[in-house]
Amino acid sequence: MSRPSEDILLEINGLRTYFFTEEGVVKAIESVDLEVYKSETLGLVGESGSGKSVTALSILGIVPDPPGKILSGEVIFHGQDLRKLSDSDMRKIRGNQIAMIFQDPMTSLNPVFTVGDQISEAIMLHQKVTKKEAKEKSIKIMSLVGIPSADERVDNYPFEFSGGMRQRVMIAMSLSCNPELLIADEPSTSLDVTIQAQILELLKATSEEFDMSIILITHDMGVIAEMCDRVAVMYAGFICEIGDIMIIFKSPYHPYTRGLLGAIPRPDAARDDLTIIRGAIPNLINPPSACRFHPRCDYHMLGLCESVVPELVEIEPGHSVRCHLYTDEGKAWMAERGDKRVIGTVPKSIAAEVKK
Amino acid sequence: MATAEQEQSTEFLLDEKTLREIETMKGAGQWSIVWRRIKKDKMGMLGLYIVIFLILMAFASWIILGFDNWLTHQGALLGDPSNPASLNNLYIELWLPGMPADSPLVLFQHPRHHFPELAKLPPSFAHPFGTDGIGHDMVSRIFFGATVSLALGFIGQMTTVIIGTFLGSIAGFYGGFIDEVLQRIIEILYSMPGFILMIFIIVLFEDVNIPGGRYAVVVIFFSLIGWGGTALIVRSNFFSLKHQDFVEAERALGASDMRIIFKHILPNSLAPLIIIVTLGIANTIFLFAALAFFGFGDPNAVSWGDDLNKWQNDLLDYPWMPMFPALFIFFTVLGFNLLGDALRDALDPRLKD
Repeated sequence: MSRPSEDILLEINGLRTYFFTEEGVVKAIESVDLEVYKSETLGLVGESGSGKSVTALSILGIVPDPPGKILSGEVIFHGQDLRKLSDSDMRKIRGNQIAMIFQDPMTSLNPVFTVGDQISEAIMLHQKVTKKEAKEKSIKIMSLVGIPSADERVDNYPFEFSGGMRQRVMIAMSLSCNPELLIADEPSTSLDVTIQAQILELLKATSEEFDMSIILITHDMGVIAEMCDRVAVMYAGFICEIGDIMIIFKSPYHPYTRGLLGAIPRPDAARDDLTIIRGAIPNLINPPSACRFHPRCDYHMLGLCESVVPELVEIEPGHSVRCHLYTDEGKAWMAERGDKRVIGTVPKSIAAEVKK
Repeated sequence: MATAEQEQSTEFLLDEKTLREIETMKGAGQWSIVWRRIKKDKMGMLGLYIVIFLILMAFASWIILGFDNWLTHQGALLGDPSNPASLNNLYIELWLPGMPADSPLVLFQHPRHHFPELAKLPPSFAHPFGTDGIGHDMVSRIFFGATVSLALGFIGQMTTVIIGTFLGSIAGFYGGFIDEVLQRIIEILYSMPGFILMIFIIVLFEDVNIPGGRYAVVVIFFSLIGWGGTALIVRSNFFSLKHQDFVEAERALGASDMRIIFKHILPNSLAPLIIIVTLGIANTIFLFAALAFFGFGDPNAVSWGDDLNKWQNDLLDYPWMPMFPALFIFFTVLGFNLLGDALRDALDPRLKD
């Protein structure tokens, strides 16, 4: 299920972000290619340290520099490359057209200002309104995101709010300028489960109301299943699989995606052992060569996976995988050895093709 | 309607005292907590009272002297305004319209005027602090000396802190090269003996003629070499604050660096700055008094330090002459130090009560 290219709101091509630290170069993002369509929710999922948050910061151009640096790639938003914009032009986009909410609402609000001041400031940064109008608008947005008696709460300090309410304030702040794209970096991770559900529900409702796209960063497959239209799976700085949520959940192609989904306990399934992904996420200062997943992969093709970086292969429209199981090199490697590695959930047509 | 009912039910449950307490707790920001803590600290409150008393005294003397000069120049008081030498300002006088022009209300002996026949009088009813070696009234000298002594401390400390805060926040926020340069400069400043350097500079600029006289030179030079400590504290504060999530959130909202530094991070490091200023004022007043004591003040100024310097050799024969200026310097330093210590305790976030 792919949509026409004019529906693309944001397109990232070949993004590469490294951190030059004293211990060495942390290759946080090696190659990220993805696109976000208008008014869709794209899930970005992966283990801790797989580069999800750095991708978000790279989109906004706020990777801490030093030590971080975006080395290459383009971030195309509304047809213009954000990386080529000047600092002041970029500031006009941040918070205005692309907004972001952060993982920990306890620390993402400035403790010494009232929440009203902070929301008003976000409004006044981008719109020519008086302080009074900004405050009225803040109250309106605060009640919109479900903060009760917003006209009183507007003068409270962040420490007078609970975690869930603070996250609502953060959402109100990010919505204050009607952004077209909202990047939500694990918005529900630090909240307890009932509040999580409320916040996600709120995000979903507001995205529909504001006709806004969301990039939802999380490591919770449940949240992805609940919220997203499409999902991109990240591993160690690569996008390994991207596609429609139904396709990915039903028939994941990439061995890593399969591992992730196999590791989710299901109440309805038989009491089998959960599948595991061997090993741990690699050190990104000295990552495995080529396909960074190869040391943990059950389908590791000796001599290929560690020497050639697999291309992103489009399996079907709107569904791409970065794995040698589906590249021409990989197929050649398997054909040479009469190997039948492609097993399990991979559609028979492809398995048959590889066999040939 | 629901809220009215709720109010009624709470009134039922809680007595008036508790309600009042709840009312005071509402909107209890950081500063009301700090105020509550200081109120509990007896020595801190003593310091606060001393500081308030001194500030009121300095302001009152400044206003009264200015008013007296103005009235004299207006011709309301006796004297010929075109000839300053003829001005009859032996006393600080108050004249209100309707009063006879030749009998204004006498308030004080003028701090700059002396009667040789009244020299070296011990404290008495007419001169509670006695008179000095050439016939100045010591009460008047102490009262009007407060302006210069306190103003020097305030202005010197404020300029120092402003320079230090600005440089420290820039260095702390950007780090890297700017920070390295700043640190080396601070090390150089710290490696020089400040007091001797001050004396050297004062002697060097002895004849300079700028508004404010010699004390202007002292204050300017003091703030040029004295900002290192503040800069280091602000810098280290910024190092921990700049990695806070709210800074990143602010950047994601499209705020510029300057806005983040001065509008968002700086208010978060206000607490240490307040302590620096309070304790620093005491130190600065003390330093300027010490400079004056060693004869590097302004002999024409009316200030405690200079009076102390003038009469230091008379301590055994006429103890009141150097004693009262010294006593007031002592109380000033004590007051600011007590208040500063109380603020340090009250602003400590680890203390919770």
